[in-house]
Amino acid sequence: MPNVQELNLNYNAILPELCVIGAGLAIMMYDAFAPKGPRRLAGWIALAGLAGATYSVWRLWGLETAPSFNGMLLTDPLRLTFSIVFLLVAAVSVMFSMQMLDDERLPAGEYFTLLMFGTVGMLLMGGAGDLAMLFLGLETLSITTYVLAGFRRGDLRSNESALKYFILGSFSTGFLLYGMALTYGATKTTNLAGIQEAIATGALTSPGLLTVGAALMLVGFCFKIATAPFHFWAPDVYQGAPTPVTAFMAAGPKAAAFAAMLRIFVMTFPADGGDLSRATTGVLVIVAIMSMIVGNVAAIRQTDIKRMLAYSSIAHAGYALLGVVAGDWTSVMFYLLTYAVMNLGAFGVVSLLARVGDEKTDIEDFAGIGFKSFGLAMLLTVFLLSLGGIPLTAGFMGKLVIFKQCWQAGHTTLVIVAALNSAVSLYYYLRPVVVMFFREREEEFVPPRVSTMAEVALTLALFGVIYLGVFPGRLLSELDRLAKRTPAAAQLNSQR
Amino acid sequence: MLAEYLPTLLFLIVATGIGIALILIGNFLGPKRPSPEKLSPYECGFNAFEDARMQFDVRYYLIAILFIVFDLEIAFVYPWALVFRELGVFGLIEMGVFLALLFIGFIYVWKKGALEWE
Amino acid sequence: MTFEQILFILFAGIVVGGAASVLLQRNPLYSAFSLITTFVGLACLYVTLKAQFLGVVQIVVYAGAIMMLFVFVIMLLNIRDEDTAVDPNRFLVYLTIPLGAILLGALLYVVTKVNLAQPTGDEGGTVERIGTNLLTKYLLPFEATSVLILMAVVGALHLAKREKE
Repeated sequence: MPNVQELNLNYNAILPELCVIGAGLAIMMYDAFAPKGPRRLAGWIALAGLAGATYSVWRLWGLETAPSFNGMLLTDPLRLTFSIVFLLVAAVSVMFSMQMLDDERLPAGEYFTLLMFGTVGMLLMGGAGDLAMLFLGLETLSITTYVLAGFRRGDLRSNESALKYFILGSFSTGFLLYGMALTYGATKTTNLAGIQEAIATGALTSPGLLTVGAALMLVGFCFKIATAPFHFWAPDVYQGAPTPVTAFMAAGPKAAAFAAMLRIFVMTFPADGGDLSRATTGVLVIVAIMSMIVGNVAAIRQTDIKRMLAYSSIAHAGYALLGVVAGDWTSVMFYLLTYAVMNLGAFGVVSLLARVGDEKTDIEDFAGIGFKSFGLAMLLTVFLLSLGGIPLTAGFMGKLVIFKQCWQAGHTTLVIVAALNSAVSLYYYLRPVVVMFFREREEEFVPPRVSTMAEVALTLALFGVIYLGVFPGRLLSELDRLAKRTPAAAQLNSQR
Repeated sequence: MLAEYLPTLLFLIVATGIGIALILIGNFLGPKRPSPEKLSPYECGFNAFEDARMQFDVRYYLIAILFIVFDLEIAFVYPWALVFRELGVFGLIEMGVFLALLFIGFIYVWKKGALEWE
Repeated sequence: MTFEQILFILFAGIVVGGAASVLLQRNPLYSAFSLITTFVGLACLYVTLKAQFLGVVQIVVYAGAIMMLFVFVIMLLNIRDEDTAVDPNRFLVYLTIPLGAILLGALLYVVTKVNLAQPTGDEGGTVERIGTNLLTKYLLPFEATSVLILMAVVGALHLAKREKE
C-alpha cells in the first residue's frame, strides 16, 4: 500500500474542480435521462455547480496551502484569483447562452456539459504545479472550445470557425508540447518547483536546450492568447462561432493561457536578467508591440462588429503582455478581470442585437437603433468605452495598473507605445456608438427580446465595469497583500 | 535486455523482406503489356457503370470515436492490473473513480442512442 | 557502430521515410498508410529506449484506433487523387522553407551542444513502474484524463450524431 500521507491528497484543494465536474456529470445524466424536449434545467445545474465552486474557492482564500497531489496542484493566490475570473466568465457565459440555446433550439445539455468541462480545464490550468497538469488542463479546455465553436452544426460559419480553431490550436499545442519535452530534457523534471530549482542551482543538462524549450513554449502560448504574429486564426474563429461562445472564448481560455504563461515564465523561470529571462522578455516585448499595432490598425477597417471585437481582443492581449514582461502576476490578473467583464458585456449585447443565428453582425445593421433600444445601446456604449480605456471604467483602471507596473519595471518605451495605441483604439470603439446614435435607419427595427438571464448577465457585467472602474482600491490592496505572500513573488521581490 | 527483442526484429525484417521481394520479383519478371481493357476494374464481364465509392455513413465515424475512447480507457487499466496488489484498496478506489467516470460516459452514450445502428 | 546505433538508424529511417511519404503521396489513403508505417517505426524506437508499454500502446491506440479513424474520415470525405486543387498561396513556400530551415538549424545546434548524461541505469519504463507512478505520483493528471476523455465523448457525440428528424 503506498504511503497515502506522502501524496498529500488534499480534497479541500481540489473541491472547486470537483464541484464543476459534478455539475458537468449531473447535466450529462439529466440530458441522457430526461424525457423529450428542451433541457431547461441544464443551465441552472451549471450555475449551481459554479456557485458551489466559487464558495469552495472562497473557503480556500487566505489559507496557507501546501502543494497537494504530489506537487501537481498549487493552491497559491494566483490559482485562487484566477479561479474567480474563470468561474465568473463561465457563469456569465452560461447566462448569455441560455437565450441563444432557447431561441435556436440547440441541445442545451451537451452545450452546458462542454462548458462545465471547459471550466474544469481552466481551473486545472490555473492551479497547475507541473507541466503535465498544465498540458492536460489546456487540452481539456481547448478541445471543449473547438466543439463549442462549431456548435451550430447547420451553420457554415460555425463549421469554418471550429475547423480553423481546431487545426491551428492543435498545431500550437504541438509547439507547446515540444517545448515542454525539451524543458524536461534540460531540467530532468516536469514539476515547476523542480524546474525552478534546477535552473537556480544550474543543474541543467544543457542551458541551450532550456532556451529552445522555453522559446517553443512561448510560441505555443502566444498562439493560444492570439497575439501577433500568431493571431491569424482569431478574427475568423471569433466571427464564425456563436456569439455567447465567442464571449466565453475571448475571456476564459485567454485568461487561462495567461495564467499558464505566468506560471511558467514569471513564477518558474528566473527574472534575474540572465540569458533566458532577457531572451523571453525581449520576445514578449516584440510580440506585445506587434499585437497592439496589428490589433488596433486592423480593427479600424472592420465592418463586422464581431471581427472588430476580435481584433480588439488581439490588441488587449498585447496590453496584458505588458504585465508578463514586467514579471508581475497581480496586474495581469486584474487586467484580465477587467477585460473579461467588459468583453463579456460587449459580446453579450452583440449576441442580443445580432438576432437569432447571428444574422445581423454588421455595424451598419445597428444604424440608428440608439434611441429605439436605448438600454442595449447604452450598455454597448459603456462596454466599448471601457474597452477603449475611458476613465471611470474598468478598462481604464486595468490599463493604469498594468502600465504602472510595466513602467516601474523599466520598460518605458513599451508603455508609451501601449498608451499611444490605446488612444488610437478609441476611434474604432466609438464608431459603433456613432453609428447607433447618430445615423438614420432605413429599415424597420424591432427591439430584440432580452431574456431575464441575459438581463442579469448584462447587469453583472455593467456592475463589474463600474465597480472596477470607480472603486478598484479594495481589490487592488487585497491583490497586493496576496502578492507578497506568493513564494515565487517573494523571491522575485527580494532580488529587486 | 534489448537482445530479447531480436527474434521480433528478425521476424519484422523477414516479413518485410518477403513482402517486398514478392512484389519486386513480380515487377521485374512479369511481362508488361497494359491495355485499357486490362487496366479497367473487373465487373463480371461488363463495363463498370459507376464509381465503387458510395456515400460513407457517419455512423462508422461515431463508432470509431467511441472505440478510441474506450480503447484508451483499457490502455489505462493495463498498468493498474499489474500492480494492483501493491497498491491495495487505495489503488482500487482510484481506478474505481476513473472507471466510474467513464461508465457515466458509457451510460450517456447508450441513452443518447449513439449505439443504435439503425 | 554499435548494434544500438544501427537499430536507431534503421527505425529512425523508417519514421522519417514514412513521414516524408505522408507529405508526398497524391492519394490520401496512401498517406494514411505511410503514417501507420511511421507509427510502427516510432513504436520500435520506444522499445529500444526501454519504454515497452509505450511502444505497444502506440501500436494499439495510434496505429490501431486513430489511423482507423483517419481512414474512415478520408473515405467519408471521398477524396480522390484529382481533387487536390492548385494552391493559390504558392509563394508562401518561399517563406516557409527558409524559416523551417532556420528552426531545424536551431534545434540541431542545440542538440549537438547538449551534454548527454548517461542514463541512470534503471530498469526503464516497465508496465509496473508506469502503473505505480500513474496511481501515486501522477494521480491528479490521471483523473483529469478521465474528465478529458468524458468531454471528448460528449463533444464527438454532438458533432457526429445523425439528425433524427
